[in-house]
Amino acid sequence: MLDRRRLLASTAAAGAALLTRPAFASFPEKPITLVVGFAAGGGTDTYARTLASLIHESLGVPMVVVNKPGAAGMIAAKFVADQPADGHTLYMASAGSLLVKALYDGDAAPVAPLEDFRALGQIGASIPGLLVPASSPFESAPDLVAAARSDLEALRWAHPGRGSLFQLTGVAFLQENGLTVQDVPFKGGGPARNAVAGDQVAFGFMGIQLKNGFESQIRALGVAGASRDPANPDVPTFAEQGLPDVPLTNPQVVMAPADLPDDEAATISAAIEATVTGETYARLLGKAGLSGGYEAPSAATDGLVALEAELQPLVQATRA
Amino acid sequence: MGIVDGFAFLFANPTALAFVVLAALAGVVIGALPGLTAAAAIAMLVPITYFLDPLSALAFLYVIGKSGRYGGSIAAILFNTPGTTASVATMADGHPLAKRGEGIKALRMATVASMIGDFVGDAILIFGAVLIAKQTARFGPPEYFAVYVMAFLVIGSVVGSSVLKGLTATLLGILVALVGLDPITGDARWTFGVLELESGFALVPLLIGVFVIAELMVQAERLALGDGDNTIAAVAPDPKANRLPLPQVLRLLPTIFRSAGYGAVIGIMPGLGSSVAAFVAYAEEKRRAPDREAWGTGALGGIAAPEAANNAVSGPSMIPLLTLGVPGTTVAAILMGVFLIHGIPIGPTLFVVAHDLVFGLFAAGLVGILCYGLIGWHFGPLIGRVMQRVPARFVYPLIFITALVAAYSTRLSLTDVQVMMAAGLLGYAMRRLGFPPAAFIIAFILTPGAEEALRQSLLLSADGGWVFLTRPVAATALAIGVAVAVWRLWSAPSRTQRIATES
Repeated sequence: MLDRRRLLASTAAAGAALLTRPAFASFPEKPITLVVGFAAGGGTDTYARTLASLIHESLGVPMVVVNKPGAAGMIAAKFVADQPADGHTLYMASAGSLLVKALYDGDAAPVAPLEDFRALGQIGASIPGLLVPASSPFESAPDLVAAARSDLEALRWAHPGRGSLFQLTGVAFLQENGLTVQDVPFKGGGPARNAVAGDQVAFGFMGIQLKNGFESQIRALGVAGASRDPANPDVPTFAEQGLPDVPLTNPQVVMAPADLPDDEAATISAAIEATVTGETYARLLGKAGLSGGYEAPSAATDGLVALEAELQPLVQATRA
Repeated sequence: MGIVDGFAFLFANPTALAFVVLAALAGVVIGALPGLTAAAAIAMLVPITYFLDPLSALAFLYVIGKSGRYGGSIAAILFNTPGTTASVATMADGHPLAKRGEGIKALRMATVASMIGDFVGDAILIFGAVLIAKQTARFGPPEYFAVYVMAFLVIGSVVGSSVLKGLTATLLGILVALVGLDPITGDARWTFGVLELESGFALVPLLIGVFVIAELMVQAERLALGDGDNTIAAVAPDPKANRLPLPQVLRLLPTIFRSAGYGAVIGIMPGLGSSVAAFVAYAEEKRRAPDREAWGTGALGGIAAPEAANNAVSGPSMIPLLTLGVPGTTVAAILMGVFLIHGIPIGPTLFVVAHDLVFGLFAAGLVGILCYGLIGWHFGPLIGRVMQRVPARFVYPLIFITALVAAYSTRLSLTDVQVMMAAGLLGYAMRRLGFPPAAFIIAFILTPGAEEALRQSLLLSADGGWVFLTRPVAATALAIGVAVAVWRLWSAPSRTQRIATES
C-alpha cells in the first residue's frame, strides 16, 4: 500500500504544484509523511488514512501514510522523534496507548510523549466500551456489577492486551465498583471481540466500534468517558447508569517533534482543523464506526496531561 | 449458492481474472525454478499486491500457491531437482521416466493428478468451510490450544528424516517465536533491549531467509564448484512414448482420489503442508500398489499419488485459516497477512462480512487450476527447457534483489533485512547439517498462537488443565493428535523417513 500511495502521492504532488502553486508559502514544500505505529487496517491507521485522503485540499501538498508497526507504536514514535523537526514527518499517535506504553517503560522509554512531541491537533478518539455476549443475562452495566459482586470466581473478562488503554479502562471500571475479576488478555481488538461473541468470557472492554457488524452476537452495556460516543449514540455512559465515571478514552493526536517551529506547526494545525471539522471526514470515519471530533493543539495537550494523570495510578496498580 | 456469487463477483472483475491467469503462469515458472517454494515466492510477491484490490491480490497469491505446487513437478521430473519441497516425492518415479525418454508422459501424468487433487481439495473447501465456520465460531482458547497441540504432535511425528533433528529444529522455531512481548503480561522477552525485537521476528523475512537466501547460497556454491549441470532428460523421438494413454489414467484414478483425500485431510490440519501430504500419499499408495516393486523406477502411480496429494492440500489448508484464523501452511500464513493489510477480518465472521470476496477467491482458485492445467499440459516441457537455458548467473541475482525488496517493504524495516540475511545463514546451516527447515518455520508459525491459547485457557479455567479434557472438542482434538503420533511412531516412520532420505 505504501508504494502505491507514494507513487500516487508524488504524481498528485507534481500536479498540485503545477496547478495551485501558492504565491509565497515556503512550507510545506513537499509531501508530508504521517507515520502510524500500528499495522494497516487498524483503528489508528483508519484515522490516519482518512485524514491523509482529505488534508491535501487545505494543505496544498499530499500527505502520505507510512506504517511502522511494533512495540505499541513506540518504534514509529522513536522514528519520528529522530527526524528533522521541519514538519515533513509527523506522528499519528494513538495517544492513550503511547502514554500507557511510556508509563510502563518508565525511564527506559525511548521517547517521553509529552516532552519530545508537540500536539498539532486531535482528530478523534477511540471510545472504550463494555461488551457482553448476546446470550448474557446482564442487560445493563449495573446488572453486571451486581452479579460480579455475588459471584466473583466464575466470571472472566477479555481485553485487547495487557498494557492497552482498554485493559486499563476495564481495571478502572472494576476498581471504581469495588470488584476484582480475573482478566484474559487477547492480542488485539478482533480476537477479544470474538471471545465475547463466542461466549467464552462474561464481558470485555475494547473499542466500542468493534461491536458493529456483530449486533446479533454482542450487546454493548456502556462506554467510558464523560459523554456518549457520537458514532454509537445508542450506548449510554457508565455515569448515566448511576455508576462511577471512568474518564478514559484513547485520543488520536497528530504530533510533531517538539522542536518544530511555531509557524510550521500553525500551518499544519490549521489544515488539520479545516479537514477534521469538514463533513466528509466525519462521514468517512462513521463508515468504520469511528468518531471524529477536533481538539485544538492546546486542548489536546491538556487532555493528554489529564489522561496521563489518570493512567499513572492504574499502571502502578496493574504492574504488580 | 455461494460459489455462484463467487463466479459472478470474479467475472465482474477483469483485473482479478487477468491476475489469475498471470498467477497460473508465474506459479508454474517459479515452481519449476529449483529450490523456490511456492511459499517463498508468494512471500516475495506480497508487496506487489499492495497495488491491487483485495480480490485480485488474494486470488493472485492463492493461485500462485496452487500452480507453484504443480510447477515443482516439472523440475523434479526433468532435472531430478525438486522445484519445491512438495515435489521431492515426485522425483523418485518422475525422473526415471524422463531418463527413459518418457518425460512428457510423466509431466502429463503430474498435470492430470495435480488438477484432480486440486479440484477435490477446492470442493471440500467450498462446501465444507461454511459448515465448519458455523462450528468454530464458538471455539474458545481451550479448543484452539488443543488444535495447536494436535498440529505439533502430527508434525513432530512426520516431518523430517531424523526424529531428533526434527525435534531440534522444532524447538529452535519455538525459541525464535518466543522473542518479543509476552502475549499475556506484555513484558519484553529476549529482546536484549532492542526496540525492533519487541514485536518479535516477522514471518516474511524469516521465511525468505530460510528458504530463498539459503537456497541461493546452495546454488551459488554449486555453481562455484562447477557442479551446475543438470542432466536434462532427452525427450523421446518416438511420439508414442509421449502419449498418456487414457486406460492408464483411469486405472490410477482410485490412487489419485485416495491421495487427494490424504492431501485434503493433511491440508485441514494446521502446520503440515504439501510436502508432508506428498510423502504420506506416496508411502500409502506404494504400500497398496500391486506393482509396488516398480515404484521408484518410473511407475506412473509414483507421480500421480504425490502430485494429487500436494495439490489437494491447497484448498483445505484455507479452512483453518478462514474459519479459525489459524494458518495451516506458510502460504496460508502469508495470505492471512494480505487479508489484514486489506482490512478484512479473518475468522468465523468472514463468511458474513466478506461473503462475495471469499467465494470470489474460491472461484479464482477453480479458474486457476484450469489455467495451470492447460499451461502445464501444453507448455510444461517447453517451460522446463527454457528454464534450463536461462543462465543461473542471471536468475539468482534477480531473485536475491527481489528478496531484499520484499523483506524491506513489508514493514519498511532494515532490521527485517538483517533478520532475513541471518535467517539465510541459519537455513543454509540447517540444510547442510540435515535439520529440516520446514519444521523450524512451522514451529515458528504455530508457537505464538499455541502459547497464547494455552495461557488464556488457564486464565479462563477455574480448575487448571482439566479444561482441556472437559470440553469435548478440545478433548477430541488432543486424542486425534496423540493417536496419530502413536500410530506414526509405532508403524510408519520407517517408511516415510526412508522416502525422505532416499530423495
